[in-house]
Amino acid sequence: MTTLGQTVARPPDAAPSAPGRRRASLVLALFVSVGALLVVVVLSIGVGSNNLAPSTVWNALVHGGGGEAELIVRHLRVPRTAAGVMVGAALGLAGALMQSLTRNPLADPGLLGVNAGAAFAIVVAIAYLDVHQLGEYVWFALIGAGVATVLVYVLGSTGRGAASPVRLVLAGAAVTAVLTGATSAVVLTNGIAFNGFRAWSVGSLDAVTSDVVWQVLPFVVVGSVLAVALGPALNAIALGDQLAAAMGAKVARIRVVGILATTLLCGAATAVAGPITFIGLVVPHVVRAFTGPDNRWILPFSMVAGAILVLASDVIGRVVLWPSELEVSVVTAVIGAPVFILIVRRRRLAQL
Amino acid sequence: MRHPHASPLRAQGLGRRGFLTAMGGGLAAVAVAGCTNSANDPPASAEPTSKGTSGTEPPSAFPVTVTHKFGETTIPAAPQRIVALGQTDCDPLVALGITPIAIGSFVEDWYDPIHPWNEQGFPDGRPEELNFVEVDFEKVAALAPDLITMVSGGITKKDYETLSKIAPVVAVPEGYTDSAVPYGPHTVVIGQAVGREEEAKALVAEVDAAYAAVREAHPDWAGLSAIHAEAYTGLYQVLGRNAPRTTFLTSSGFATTPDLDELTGDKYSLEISAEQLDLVGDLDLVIWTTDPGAVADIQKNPVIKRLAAVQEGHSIWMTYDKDDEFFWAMDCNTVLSGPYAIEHGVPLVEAALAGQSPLSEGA
Repeated sequence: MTTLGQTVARPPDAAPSAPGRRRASLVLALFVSVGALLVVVVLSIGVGSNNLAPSTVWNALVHGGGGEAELIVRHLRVPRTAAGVMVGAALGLAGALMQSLTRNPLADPGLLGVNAGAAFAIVVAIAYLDVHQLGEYVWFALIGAGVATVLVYVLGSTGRGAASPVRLVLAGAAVTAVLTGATSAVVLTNGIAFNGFRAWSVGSLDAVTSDVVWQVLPFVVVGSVLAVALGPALNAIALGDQLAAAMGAKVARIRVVGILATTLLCGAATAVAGPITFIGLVVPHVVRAFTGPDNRWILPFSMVAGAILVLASDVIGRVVLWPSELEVSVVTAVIGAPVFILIVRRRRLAQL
Repeated sequence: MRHPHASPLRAQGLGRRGFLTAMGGGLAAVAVAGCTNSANDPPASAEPTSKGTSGTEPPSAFPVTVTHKFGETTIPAAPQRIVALGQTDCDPLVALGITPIAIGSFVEDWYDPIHPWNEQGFPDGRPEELNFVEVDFEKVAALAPDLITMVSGGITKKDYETLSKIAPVVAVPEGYTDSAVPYGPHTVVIGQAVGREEEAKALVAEVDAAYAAVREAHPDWAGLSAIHAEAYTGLYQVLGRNAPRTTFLTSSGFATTPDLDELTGDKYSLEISAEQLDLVGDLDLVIWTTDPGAVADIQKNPVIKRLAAVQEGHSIWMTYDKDDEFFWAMDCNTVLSGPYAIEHGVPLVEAALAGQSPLSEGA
């Protein structure tokens, strides 16, 4: 995306003497991460609340054969695994994007009102439009996320000057507060008890079916392409808006594309799994701890690491509360929090 | 009978997990000896007893003393102003021809305490509704009751003590959980409090006989497996064998399955993974509950529609909408709602066993 950030900032800590070696080790690390993701994918298809033998799982996966095993493997675990990878990658990537875009180390995808917008739209759909299927939630979630983001951007841009990171964050917090209140108001005053909404609002992959995966896949793909392409431009933004502009980066355009990508990624992820907030916050920090501040590496690594964290958490959640399941959002928080604390204690968070 | 699924306010406050945990905790102490056909027999050690009433006519019976889980309550004279605060406590009173001056309710727009089976008890219009979940003591006191019943729906010791300062209070009989007092002990303990124990027992016997008649008319139901399950978008629950709705099935001759019984234990309901739904779907009869307006969508749910009981039509579909009276008749499980559940439920069960996937009337 050289049209956006025409001058590519060199990653500040990449030792000029050995950029090649560092690059090689990062490429290797990326392959290792993808390998780890594949292992988790295999686990996700093999392990679940229903204790199927590995051979049964394999048969059901390859040959189908009808019956309970096929139902579980093909119609529950495979879509769920795909959704876990998608949601984790989207949230990890969106988190990294948000943190760079706003230069705020505590930024996460919820910050621009995306989650709140999606949740509000879904509640309205359930309450007034008789929507009860996850596949239908998706559209409302995307619309809600989009409207909330536009609202935040318009609010953050009014008045003098361009939208600064601080003003965007403040506008995001305000819009989130309003939408969260509105969501509660609908839930509390509407006659129907929102069991479906409650299940969704916790954040879970339990209900995902293949049609939902196909529905949101295009949004995640487009969002991911936009986000990863922004990597070089984000390196320029990291130097501050004025310096980035001085170097030829079109700051406003970068920010708009970044927000568009965030909205697509988070809207899709939130629609599928409900609001899972921790991934977007913690994954970029974990990644940054070993890639350094170069966004061209942080973004792809955040995708893979996010997918690993969400999927592994989901697998754990399936077995710890048998015969029920612990929601993936709960497990990610339980796993993610200690990791986060460890990183914060071990080294200062990489400066943005 | 608090409904884990049907209380948006509480769900908001605690979150789903916290809410369900709270429910589970509250119900963990359940010790009802409920099995097929015996769900309404009080445990031998905890039969509600009343002193000085047995065998005598009501008007001369007072004072009566009623035993319940918080001790004994003496009612000095025949009560005239009864507040039926427990969720379904008005039903035994209406059955005995008594109109309470106020009745308990969730006081939310998804709930209506007046049903086809008890509306004849209120010929002068709707009684005052009081929130039994969060009791407004001043409101109760302002009604100047001479008897308060708080048998179904649950009461804390603290609330019991506060209410006792207003008027004599009858609480849950010893040995039963707040959410699952069957119509037998429920009716008898309230009958005792108004000095009409014998009549109450006769009413209970009529309902027992009605269920016996159902079993007699359908000998083929004996031994068939059946269960209530709840399906929402991404949330599946199975009801315990002692939940009031389940006793409609067991009283009609159906049996719950040992593997489900083992999982649910004494819980009102249990959340299960989508991967475990065959535990429900393989049964001979499943009664599904979902959100009002969501039946068609849940039937299309790819996981639900592949279950045997759904594919073969051996499922009854209903919601907890206030117009879905069959749901509430089973869920209230009172001396008045039992016959309504039988009247409306038996044709539905017959249709389901014939593979017709019947829909409850209000759903």
